[in-house]
Amino acid sequence: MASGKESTAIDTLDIQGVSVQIEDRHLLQDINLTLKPGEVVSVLGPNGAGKSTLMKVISGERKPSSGEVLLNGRNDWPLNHQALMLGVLPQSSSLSFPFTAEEVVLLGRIPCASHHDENLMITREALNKVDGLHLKDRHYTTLSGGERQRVHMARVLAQIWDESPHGKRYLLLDEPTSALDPAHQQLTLKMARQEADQGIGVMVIMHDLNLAARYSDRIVILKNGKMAAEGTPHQVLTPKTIGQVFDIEVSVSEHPAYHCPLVVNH
Amino acid sequence: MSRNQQGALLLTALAILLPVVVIVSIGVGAVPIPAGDILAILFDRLGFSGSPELVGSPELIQSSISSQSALIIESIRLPRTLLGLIVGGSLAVAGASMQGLFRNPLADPSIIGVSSGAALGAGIAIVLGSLLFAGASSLVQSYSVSILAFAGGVLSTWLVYKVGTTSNGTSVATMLLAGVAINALAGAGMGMLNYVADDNMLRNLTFWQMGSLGGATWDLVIICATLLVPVILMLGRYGLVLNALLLGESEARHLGIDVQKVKLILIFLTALAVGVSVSVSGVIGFVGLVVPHLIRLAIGPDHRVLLPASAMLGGILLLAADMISRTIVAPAELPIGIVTALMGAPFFLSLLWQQRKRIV
Repeated sequence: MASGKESTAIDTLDIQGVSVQIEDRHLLQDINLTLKPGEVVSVLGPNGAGKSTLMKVISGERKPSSGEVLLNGRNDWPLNHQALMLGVLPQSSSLSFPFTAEEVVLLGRIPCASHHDENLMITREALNKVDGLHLKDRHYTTLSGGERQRVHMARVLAQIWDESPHGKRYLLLDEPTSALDPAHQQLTLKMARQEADQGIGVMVIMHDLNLAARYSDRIVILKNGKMAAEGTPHQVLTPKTIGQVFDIEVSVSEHPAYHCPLVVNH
Repeated sequence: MSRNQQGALLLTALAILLPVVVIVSIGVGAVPIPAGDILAILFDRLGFSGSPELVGSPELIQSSISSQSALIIESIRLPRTLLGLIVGGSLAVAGASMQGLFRNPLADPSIIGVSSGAALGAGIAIVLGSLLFAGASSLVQSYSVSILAFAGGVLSTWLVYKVGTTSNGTSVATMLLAGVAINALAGAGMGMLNYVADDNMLRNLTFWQMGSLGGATWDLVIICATLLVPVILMLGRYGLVLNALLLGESEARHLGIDVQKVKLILIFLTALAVGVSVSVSGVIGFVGLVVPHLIRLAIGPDHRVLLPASAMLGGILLLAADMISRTIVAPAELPIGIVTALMGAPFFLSLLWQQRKRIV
């Protein structure tokens, strides 16, 4: 049932009053959030705050108990159309068959109607973006955790590589940096930033407050399934908010090199 | 050489090998028939010589040996070879699809209980068919074994899948354990049927449990071809989908695939393939397990090559096994299920041996 609200903009990913309830446990409560093309929104929050559940609701994997998610104004896209607009990187993938890294990334091109040679070219460029071109002939099963994460990142990039005829494109990344070394963490978020600069809306779940501060336009903090804070990094990353949500004591100063907050643990 | 080229090469090699094995299979037996005679007779039968007559065309009738060969080919060897080809191909494609669907290279129609469920269905039809189908039409009666074998196959597939699946996805360990339980249950059911069966039924039951292509008739070949060739072709179209499913069900969904619908279709098609195969040839193990593995060793897990290559290699290997079963204790015949188990089980063990470090 599409919403008749006139406030709905067409070119956004619009989360409207989403709640998820299992028996008497509220996983998400009345989440309202809009992701616009061209911006990076980070979702922070303690373990069990509902971040991944929110991701699943947005990707359509899980039906919300109430509320709805409108992708470019609609909540009833055919799956193969949605796949051209919405790339989803899950936290971890279980792939136990010996595809090469290149073949894994090529799987991302399944929803696209392009020719094999073009797919192969895009696959290599996507692998290059995640610093994974040298992995292309390695078997996936022999890759390390961080290398696998980068290969899947490339797969999702390849999936929404082309402009979609159906509307703007969005990228949902669930802890894309969890298994990465510091250099590749920076690389991944820089790349997310670049994707956003090309008109893609990017939503990233992560735990590193300083990475979020540096690369996000907006930060959303979830706690116990509710929105605890939302705003620019400067608005959200304050000692008070961080103390309330994460139960840690921090100091926040201005980053010496970038125009963003710098969070230091006590 | 890239994997794509390897895949194309393998498919070409199998496509060349397949007719060769078919000719050899027709030629081998108590009365050996030279390949030249086989080709002449087959071409004649297919109408290439322009003669509408079946056996009695002038060229063939010239020598009595040729007409005897023609009779052997037409009434015995050709239907048997075609049946072996279709059944072997179906079992191998079903195995490959199931391994992809369950994301586990050890899944196999016989290991997760589909074959034994189908055999139990066939057994019930053999022993109790006259009671169960007493009032049914003659059409239903003549197909009762196939119908119940198919029902048994579908039911056990559904049960294994249902037991193994939670909201978190399909647990392979649970599924394999459910398969063990179904195998035991079907074994007990077969035991009871053995107990109440008369001598004639007992011989039939034993036949089902060890498998044989010896019952091949043109009727069976036609039933099998109408049901299974479309199944093989349809399964062959799910290559990309199965590739995506290897990533995981939610990942496949994100790639635009209606996973729930696809799962139902694949389970239905594999159950149909296995159910019909078992109903005409009994339980022939290890083909569905070993063939996809052999192909994967050569060209990797890409189902777009794996499915058609498995179909061809499954047919080839089952014909090879059938030739062994026909000749090794000639003039008697060793049930083909024994041959495939003798070839397949050591291979399976060596796979486990290689993978034991990874399984832990």
